Amino acid sequence: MLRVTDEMMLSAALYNLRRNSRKLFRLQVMAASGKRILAPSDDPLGAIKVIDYNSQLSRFEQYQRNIAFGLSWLQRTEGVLQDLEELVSRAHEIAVSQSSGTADAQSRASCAGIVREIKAQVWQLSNASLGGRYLFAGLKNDQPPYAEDGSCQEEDTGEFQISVGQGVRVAVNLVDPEVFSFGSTDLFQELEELAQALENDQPDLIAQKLDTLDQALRQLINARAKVGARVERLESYKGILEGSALKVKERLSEIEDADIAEVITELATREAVYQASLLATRRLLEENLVSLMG
Amino acid sequence: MAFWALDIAKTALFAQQTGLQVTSHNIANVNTPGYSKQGITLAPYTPIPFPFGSVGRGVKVEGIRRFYDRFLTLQLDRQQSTKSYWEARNEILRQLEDVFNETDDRGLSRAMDQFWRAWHDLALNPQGYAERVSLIGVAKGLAENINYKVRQLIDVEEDLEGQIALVVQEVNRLAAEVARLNVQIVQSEARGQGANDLRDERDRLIRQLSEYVNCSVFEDEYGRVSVLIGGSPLVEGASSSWRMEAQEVPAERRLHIYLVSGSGTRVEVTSQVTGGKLGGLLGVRNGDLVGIRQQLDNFARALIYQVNRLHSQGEGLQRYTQVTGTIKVDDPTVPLATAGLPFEVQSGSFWIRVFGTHGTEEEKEEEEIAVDPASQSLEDLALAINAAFNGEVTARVTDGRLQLEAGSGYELSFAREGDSRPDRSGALAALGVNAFFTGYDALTIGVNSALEASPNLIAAATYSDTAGDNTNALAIAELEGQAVLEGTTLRDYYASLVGGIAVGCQDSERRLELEEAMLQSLENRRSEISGVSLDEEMINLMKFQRAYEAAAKVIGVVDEMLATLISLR
Repeated sequence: MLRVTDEMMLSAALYNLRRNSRKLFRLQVMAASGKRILAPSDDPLGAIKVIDYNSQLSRFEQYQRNIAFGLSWLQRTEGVLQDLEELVSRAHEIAVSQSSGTADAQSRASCAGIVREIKAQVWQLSNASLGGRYLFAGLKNDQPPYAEDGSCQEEDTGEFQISVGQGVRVAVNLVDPEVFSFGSTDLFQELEELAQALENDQPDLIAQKLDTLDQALRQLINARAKVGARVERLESYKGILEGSALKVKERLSEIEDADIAEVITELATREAVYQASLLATRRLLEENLVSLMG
Repeated sequence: MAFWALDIAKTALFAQQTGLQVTSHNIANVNTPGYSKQGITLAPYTPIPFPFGSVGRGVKVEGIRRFYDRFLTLQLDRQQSTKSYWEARNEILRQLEDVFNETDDRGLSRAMDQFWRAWHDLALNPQGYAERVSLIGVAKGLAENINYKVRQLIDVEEDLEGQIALVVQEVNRLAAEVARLNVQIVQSEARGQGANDLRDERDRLIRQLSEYVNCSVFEDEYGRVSVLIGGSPLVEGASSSWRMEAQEVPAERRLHIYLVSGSGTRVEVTSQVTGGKLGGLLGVRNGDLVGIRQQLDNFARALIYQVNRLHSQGEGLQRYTQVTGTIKVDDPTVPLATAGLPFEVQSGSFWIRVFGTHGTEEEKEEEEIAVDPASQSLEDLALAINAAFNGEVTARVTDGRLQLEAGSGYELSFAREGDSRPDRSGALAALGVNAFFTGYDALTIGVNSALEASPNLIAAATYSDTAGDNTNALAIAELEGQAVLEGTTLRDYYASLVGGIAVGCQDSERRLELEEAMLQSLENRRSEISGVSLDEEMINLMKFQRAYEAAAKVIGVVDEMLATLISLR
């Protein structure tokens, strides 16, 4: 350097002070907010990832909500199926006992009343609902699917699907012919015929119903197995989602959150540098030939 | 001989005094930006030859020189332009970054996430009124967020244009000043007076000019400078008849810069303005801003179209008695392909279905309407619809929009029934019939007010009369993960828009820091040559003072000698 001038010293001091205070300020904000990325330009790639991760978390939360709904629907369905199984078993038992020679017209007549009662309960269960929506009504689930005589009011076999992952849908509702109807007949009709056979004291016909009631029971058990499988599927998705959400949260924190220990250490260093440059500037302003010449 | 010494002392007194003056001028200007240190050049007068040798005649001031490096000044001007360019660019990009700051909860990506969530929630409970109302609210939030972003972009654009106008004004003022100084310098130097301070001032002006715009400067043999922008003159010697002008070219959405001569000749220099504040502002205004706006428009357009495409073919809990398209054609009498529709109509067909309000099967009618955008105008389409029905539906064109009205006792639906009644022409979405979003770009996007008034019209179902059907809501919710815009999802497209701005901002930040350091080091080199050092001037002060004292002493001595001579009498 040829000559050092006053202007040079002052502008260098100013330049360095400005630079140091800028860095110091950034570190202070980082320490105070606990965030590593204060503006997207601090880390453009990180900022994009933050958008992506946040949106993933929001999606996972939604899928969890969808799954929770699906599970409550399936659990309700399972309960109804269980009740139905019990009712059909009872009807089956009645058919077994009343088709044997030990039963008589009187016992059959009284049993007919029980079977009608069972049928009424089956009908009630067939119109079971969750939050105002009928479980077995397909997509037209705002109306009860079955009339009291067991006839279908609104036949709809639409699947109600929930979304449990990107492009992954799971149907949650059971629709006929999965529950009540089988072959060319249905549970309502079979129970009605059983009741009539009991009323009319026809042991042969009652014995015939043993078979069909067995079939109905098997179908209900199958339906319950189906529901069970779906519950399991949803539970496993739920587990996966929970795991993924945890991982994403970790990664998000890695990108977004400042390493406080590191920030504080650097802050201390920067502070020292800043103070040194302040001190140097002060000394610079104090000392020159003019002051010595008095 | 004694008288001679008196003369010599006189020259010395004068020379030292001048030296003192120059020194004090230097001290006075220690903080003046652009000031170049001055110094006197002293030389002895030509001596008088005597047989015994030459005898000196004292000292003369040969000149006052300016410590100055022309090449360094040019470099500094150029560096100043570069630094100012990045400074202006960085400032504006930081503003834009603020607009697209997604690190807090007010970001557009969050609003978009919420929008898809709301569709999912509706899919879980398609009968729910609360879900519908909430969806409308969230969708309005999203649309307003997009509107707000565009409006902020427009604000930035207006702010930029205001700044550019000011810069252009300043450039013209500085150019006129430079031309005026050219005249003064030539006059002053022609009289042999030198023009150190005037030259400093002109350099300072040129430096300011460089701060505003990159320019090249040439000095001619008379000491006049010409200032050129990309080869076109702004200042030509003593004339500043050229003026800079900024003008918008609306078709390109770009701002152009012209140099206009006194006689009206216009030279476009837009592409040559690559430096200085003007270069930085212009670059953002014509480049980044136009690009960002375009991307935001693409994003909004894709969002509107994709959602509407599905929504327009669905059915809500309630059917229409009357529906008006949200999209306007410029001219309902020319074929749809050229009628100025923002969305494309394909050749194909769509279905209009009517249901009797009493709900019996006999009263149901559905018609497939063929669309050929190359030949059919909107008026033709309305006629075709009217011809297909017997008054159950009346179609007309109102203010460039398609309006459908169900006859009394009927209701309208566009449900695609799974996929058996699809709209293969895309006409429903393109005309905004049964649309979810209104508008066609970031500024115009909004939520269809008909849906806002009757949330039950939100088409969560693809089947008619099926309240529990959530298939349309699910399909719309699943748009989130589909690559619908330039091979990516809407989210990724927006993220890359934000990323692009962030990268530009980061880049400009780094460049600014670098160019600032460069400028600083050049300034230091200039100061090395031209700067005032007070220490140095103090020493000079003493030097001239002592010399002055000595010269005065000489006069005293000569005076005494003369007194001795006179007292000899």
